[in-house]
Amino acid sequence: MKKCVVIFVEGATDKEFFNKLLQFYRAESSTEMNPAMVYNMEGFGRFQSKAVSKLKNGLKPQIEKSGDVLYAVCCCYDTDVFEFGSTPPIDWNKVKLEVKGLGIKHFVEVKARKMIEDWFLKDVNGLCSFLKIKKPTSEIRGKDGNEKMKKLFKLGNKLYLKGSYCHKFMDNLDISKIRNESKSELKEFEKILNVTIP
Amino acid sequence: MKIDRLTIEGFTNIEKIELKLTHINALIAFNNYGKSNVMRAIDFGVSFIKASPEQKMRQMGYQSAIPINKSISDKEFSLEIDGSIISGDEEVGFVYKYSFEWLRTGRSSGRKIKSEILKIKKGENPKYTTYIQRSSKGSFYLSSPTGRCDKPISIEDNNLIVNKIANFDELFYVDIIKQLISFDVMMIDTMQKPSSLFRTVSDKSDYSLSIDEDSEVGFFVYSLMKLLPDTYELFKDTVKSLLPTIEDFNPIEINLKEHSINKSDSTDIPFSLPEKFYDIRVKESYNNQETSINSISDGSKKIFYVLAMSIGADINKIPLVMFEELENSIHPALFQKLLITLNALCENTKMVISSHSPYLIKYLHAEKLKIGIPNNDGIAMFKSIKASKISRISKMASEEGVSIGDYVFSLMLDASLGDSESLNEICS
Repeated sequence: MKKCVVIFVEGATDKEFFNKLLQFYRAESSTEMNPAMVYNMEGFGRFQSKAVSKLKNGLKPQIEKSGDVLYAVCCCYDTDVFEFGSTPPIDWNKVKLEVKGLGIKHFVEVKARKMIEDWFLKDVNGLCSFLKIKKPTSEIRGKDGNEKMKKLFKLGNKLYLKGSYCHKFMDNLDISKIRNESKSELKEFEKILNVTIP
Repeated sequence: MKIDRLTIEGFTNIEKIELKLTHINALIAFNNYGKSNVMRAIDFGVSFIKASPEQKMRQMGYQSAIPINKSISDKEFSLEIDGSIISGDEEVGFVYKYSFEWLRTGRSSGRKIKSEILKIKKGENPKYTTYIQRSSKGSFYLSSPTGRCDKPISIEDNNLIVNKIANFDELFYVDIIKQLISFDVMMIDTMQKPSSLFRTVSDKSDYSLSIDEDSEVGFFVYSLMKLLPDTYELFKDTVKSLLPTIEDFNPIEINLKEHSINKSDSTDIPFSLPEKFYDIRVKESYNNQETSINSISDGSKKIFYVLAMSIGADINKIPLVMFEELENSIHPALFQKLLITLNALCENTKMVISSHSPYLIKYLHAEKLKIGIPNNDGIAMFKSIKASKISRISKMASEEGVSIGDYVFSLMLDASLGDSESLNEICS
């Protein structure tokens, strides 16, 4: 019986990134990683209303049918609310209680400190190689990660569009570097996945 | 030029509407409420500033804009703009307002400009100084930096002082006046069938990036490629990101003169009319060949058109672009991406979008919305959501398990059915 982990993310950008991160863990972990699937909730607002229903009516029965157990649920989100997203407040305690009510042992939140773009910017070299530009000599300024990405991409005559661009540069990112610089935010996440990076 | 606030009065069913402009702004109301009238009023009011006296007379008699609603039929038209202009190296704040009386069929024939005022704020000084003042007591302007606004000026009923003093070359603020009488706003008509905007024959002899509502998109995109190749690359990347089925595209130009029936006819004539055909060749991922842009879906063509015009507006530093029902024939998920794209693409241009869709409410912050409040008088009354109510709306939306947009939209639905108490409570 395998211990499965469901990872809810809030958009296409995050789905691309977390899939890439899982790929990295599978390759680098010295312990066998728990099976994990990334599920895009298409907008922050659906976490509360849809996550529990999706688990109850779809994902949990599906996993149990294969003889496995839904061991943990992880919700990954930015702590900054994006300007063009739906913006309902999420009562995370309520979500946690409802998830636990389904008999799922662990509930973990992974919070990108501000935005997932702040994680991408930890590998400016990788982004610059995708953009085919030299690394800027001065720090990229902007009110948040999204703004900084937009400025960097403009240097390469590209428009960074949150939610629909990430797949294009994901292969250029050094996931190991980003992971190493985000260890504290990912600690619980790696624990439920049974990942050990030597 | 930047526009921070616009106030319109006395146009069709608009009594008064004030728009404090952020980068993207939304007018949300049900059909036949007056969203389009707000946009038409802004376009009308701005074009009035630069119109000739004869055109002004025609505009003051423009029958389909004259208020005939019982509650506001005496209302004069007025436009007030609050914004800033670059003068020399300095950003200068201004407030400009004019009003006129519409055509009348009673004892007075109307069609008279009634008032005009220009106030300017320079440097660190937080106070505005009056530069132009016109009322029933007379018309005056400021003639020297140290003086007062008391120099009389003779002005006709069908002309604005700003138009007249724009010719005073020695006036110390003439550059500000010239900017004030020459700026444009633009309405991007997303309701029309976009096919007519591509595949056009142009008689322009030089490439140009200037745009208007009827711009030929093929010609504009070809000019962009020739004149601003970096911006063209950005445009191309943006289109391909937003419409992932488009693998690649290329604007083309065909000189029709090279296909003359009788080539000898085109030699030795004093003027040869330039005639070039423009199209955009598109390769879609599921097609085995390139096609004209006319073969792609109407929704995709519309997005292509909107992006081209928006980048054009930004290049030309047009301070305000207005889109009517932008969401038409665009999938809601793509609509969100389009908003994100326009926000990133238009750095110099602010946008007003009208909509009757809950999606626009869903994707924009509550403070960017102007909501049409139903009333029994047939007046278009747009109100903002009170800042003090936003956290309460969040809480209520959370309790109902819906997004803020869905919650506000449900209040609008209630109001349209006669229960407007809750909507009025959250709006100022």
